[in-house]
Formats: sequence, C-alpha cells, structure tokens
Amino acid sequence: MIAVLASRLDPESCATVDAWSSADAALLSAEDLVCPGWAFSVGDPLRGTAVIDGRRISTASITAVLTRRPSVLPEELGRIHPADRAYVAAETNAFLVAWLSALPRTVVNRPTTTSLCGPAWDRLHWQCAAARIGLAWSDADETSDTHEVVVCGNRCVCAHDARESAMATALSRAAGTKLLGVRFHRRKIARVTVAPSLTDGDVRASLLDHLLGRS
Amino acid sequence: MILLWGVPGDEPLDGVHAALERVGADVRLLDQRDSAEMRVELTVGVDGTLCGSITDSVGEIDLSCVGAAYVRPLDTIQACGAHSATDPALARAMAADNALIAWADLSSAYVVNRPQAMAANNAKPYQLAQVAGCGFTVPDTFVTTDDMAVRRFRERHGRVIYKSVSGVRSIVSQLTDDALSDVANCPTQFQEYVPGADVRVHVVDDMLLSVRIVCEADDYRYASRSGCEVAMEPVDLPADVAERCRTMAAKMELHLAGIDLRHASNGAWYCLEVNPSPGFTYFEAVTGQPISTAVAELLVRQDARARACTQA
Repeated sequence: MIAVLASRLDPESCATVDAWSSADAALLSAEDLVCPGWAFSVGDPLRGTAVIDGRRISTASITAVLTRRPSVLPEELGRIHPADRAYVAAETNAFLVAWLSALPRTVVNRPTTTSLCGPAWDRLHWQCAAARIGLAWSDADETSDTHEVVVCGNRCVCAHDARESAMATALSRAAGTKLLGVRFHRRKIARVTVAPSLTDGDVRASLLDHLLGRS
Repeated sequence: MILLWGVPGDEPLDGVHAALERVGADVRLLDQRDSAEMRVELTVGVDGTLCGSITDSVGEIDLSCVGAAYVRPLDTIQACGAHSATDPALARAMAADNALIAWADLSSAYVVNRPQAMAANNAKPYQLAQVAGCGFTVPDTFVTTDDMAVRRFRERHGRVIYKSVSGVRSIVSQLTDDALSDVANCPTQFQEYVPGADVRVHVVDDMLLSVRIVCEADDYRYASRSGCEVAMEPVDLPADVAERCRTMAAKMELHLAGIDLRHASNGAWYCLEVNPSPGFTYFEAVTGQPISTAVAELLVRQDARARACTQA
C-alpha cells in the first residue's frame, strides 16, 4: 500500500490517491491519526500497526508514504474535545515525525523535526542553501514569468534544459529532499516548495515510479 | 560580541549574563519582550553568508560582529504578553522572532544552541532513536492509540510509565488503568520503568558536570507534589559513559545539553532524554556546580576565536 498523508480537504491529494488506485494508494487523514489501532515500537517500526482510510493494517504492508502536509492542525481533529485539540495535534505531529523518520520504506519527503514533509525552510533559508552551492537567486515576484521544475526521486520533470535540471537536482540534494518544486525565472531560482503541484501527468507518473522503486 | 537572546528573569539566561559581565565580556542582551519594536534586517551574500542588523531601543547591532550567541527564546505569545491572536504587536513580534530564529540557524556565529538542533526534543521517540544510535541503552518505548496493546506492553514489563510524545512539558507518571481510557484519542508514549538512580549530566562543549539525584518520585522535577524529597550530589561518570555523552551531544550539534541518565539496578546506563535548552540553574543552586560560568567561558572563547578569524 502507498499511504498518502494529506487532508481530506486537499483535492489534489485526493485526486492523486484516485489516480494511483491500481497501485493500492490510500489516504491517511487526520481523522485516522486519532483512531484506535496505531502501534509503534521505537526500534522496531515494522512490528506495529497503522490506521489508513479507516482500516487498521500492519505497518509492514505499507510500501511507501507520500506526505503532503507540514503538520496536522488542531482544527482538523473534530472528534476531539475543543479544549484538547491543540495538545492532541502537538502529540500527533510529534508521533508522525518519529514514525515517518523510522519507517524503513520510501518516504517522500522524510520529515524534519519541524515539518512532516521535509525542511520547513522559508525564502531566506532556500536562498542561503542555493547560494552555498553556487546557484543564482532571482528577485522576481510570484506574478512574473516563471515555470516550475519538479524533482521526483532521481528524475527531473518540466525542465526547459539540462542546466535547469542540474540546478534543481543540486538544490534538492542539498536540502535532502526527494520531491521538490523549483520555480525558475530567466534561469535563476525564484521560489522553492517541498509540496509542488501534482496535477501534471509526468510529475505524477515519475513520483509513482519513485515510490514503487522503479526509478 | 556575544549576543544573548531571551527574557530577563529566565534564570539560565540571567546566570550566563551575570557570568559574562563578571569577566567584562563584550555582551549585548536582546530582550525578547521587546520583539514587537525590534527591526531585524537580513540579507544573503552571494556565497550564502547571512548578513544584517538588529535594531532595538538600545541601538543597532551589526550581526557580522556577533561571534557567539546564547539563545533561550520563549514562545512569542508568552514573551510579548499578547492578549489576542489578532494583536498587531503579536504579528510584529512573531516576524522579528522568526527572523532571529532564522539567523540563529544560518549564522556563521557559534550559537548555543541552533534552533534546528534543539527541535529534536519536540518529538521524543525520534530523539530516543537518535540516542540509541549514539550507543546508549534506552527503555523499551511504545507509542499507541490502542489500549489493549498498552495492556500487553505492561504485562511484558510489569511497571510502565507514560509521558508526552511532543515537547509539551508533562509529568512522568506510572500507568494506572484510569489513564488508559484516553489512549484511543491521542497517540501516547509508554516506556518500561527502569529502576535505578537518576543522573543529570550537563555537557558544555567538552566539559561534563554530573549530579546524582536521589528521589522516590516518578519525576523528580515534581517531587514536592507527591511529598517526596530530592537530594543531589556531584558524581563522576565512568569514562566510557562520559565519552558517550560528549559524542552524543556533538552528534546532535548541541554545545550545551542536559542529559538525563538512569544508572539501572543491574548496572546498565540508560539514557532517557536529552534537553537541548536545559534549566541548569536548578542543579547549580543545589550543587554549586559552576554551569553558568562554564557556558559563559565557552561563549567568550568562541567569540575570541571568531574575532581572530575575522582579523586573519
């Protein structure tokens, strides 16, 4: 099974789960995380159980995880008493950091201690990371003529040329990510995201290949 | 220059500040309560070096002159005393605090400790896996939303304790049946109870200051609530355990750490947790161990080293 950790209110993630139904993809929602059935032994993560799409499954049957959210929000935990939601959300996020870090499976992106889907870097962090490996940064704003190159595992999708592909791949490697959207403006980097759009068919196919270990 | 960032009245911050002033160090305190009125300007050089300045009511600090820093920020809401999430002062304070956290993470100054390195403590089972990777024995640890699984875990270990998974401060408690009812609604962390003596180790760079804690309570930090006494005495660690503490703090990129060990009745040394921003003055007051001075001396050394590099 491929678990897609995302919100039920995220249409792009739900569409991705539908598109990958033949690969046994399923949505791991916030609701699943506060259901009975989770069990995680530190030091032996595959021995446990998980709750995915309302079903309790053996952790060993998970082949890969795609994470499409930086955190679980208190507001999503509708069945928890409002006074307890902030605490339960904090505990749930901490649990996910530990579980996703320990899982000996393909996890995209691996969490960091501050985000479930990779580095929680702001523009300044990305700018520093880019500069430290010699990549030029553009001051173009969001409305400028830009396009997004997406790194999916070992592939790079939507690049205009090999140079863009090399730049995006180098930044992804420096950040320790396997999925990275790098927006270019006139051959300089203008914006970076660990949650690029998955609407493009090539991006989705490349990502699925990576999750299934085919690339 | 040595930069201190936090809230005056916080004892570790005050302790280090006083120790720096005693030796006449070039120290500047940034009071986090004034974050809403601070201006933080950061720019990235072509080589990725972070430059910039901070301006507060005292004046402007050129961040390129900061060679070392000790950072102990509180939660912004707590520090600036905002009463409402829509308070514009809170938005300004958060912007300044976030910029200072970014600086602390990315600066070439010697920072005790970088926020990124400290964040591992916010996911305790994650940190415990790191600890085990450094060669320490750790208690069997289990996170679950399944009360039947907890019962089986307790059958295996006899005595079991539970505590928060995240960095939210909790009182470590022994498991009773009453506590099991809430497990289904929230991932909860359980650990085998390891009988033995608590030992707190403060690592300051390569210096270790260790103390044995004698207390009957499950959590000695809250001993008075259960009517228990706490006694402490400085102790020397076996050389191999001491070296493991040093190596672990270095691997976690923590220049200052409070490591909680338990010397089990069977002789094994367990590591329970690593505190990346320890409230060491509690231990200093009881034992007289000069932890504030050790942190201050480390900052002075590193600031001097940074200045020497700049001059060269």
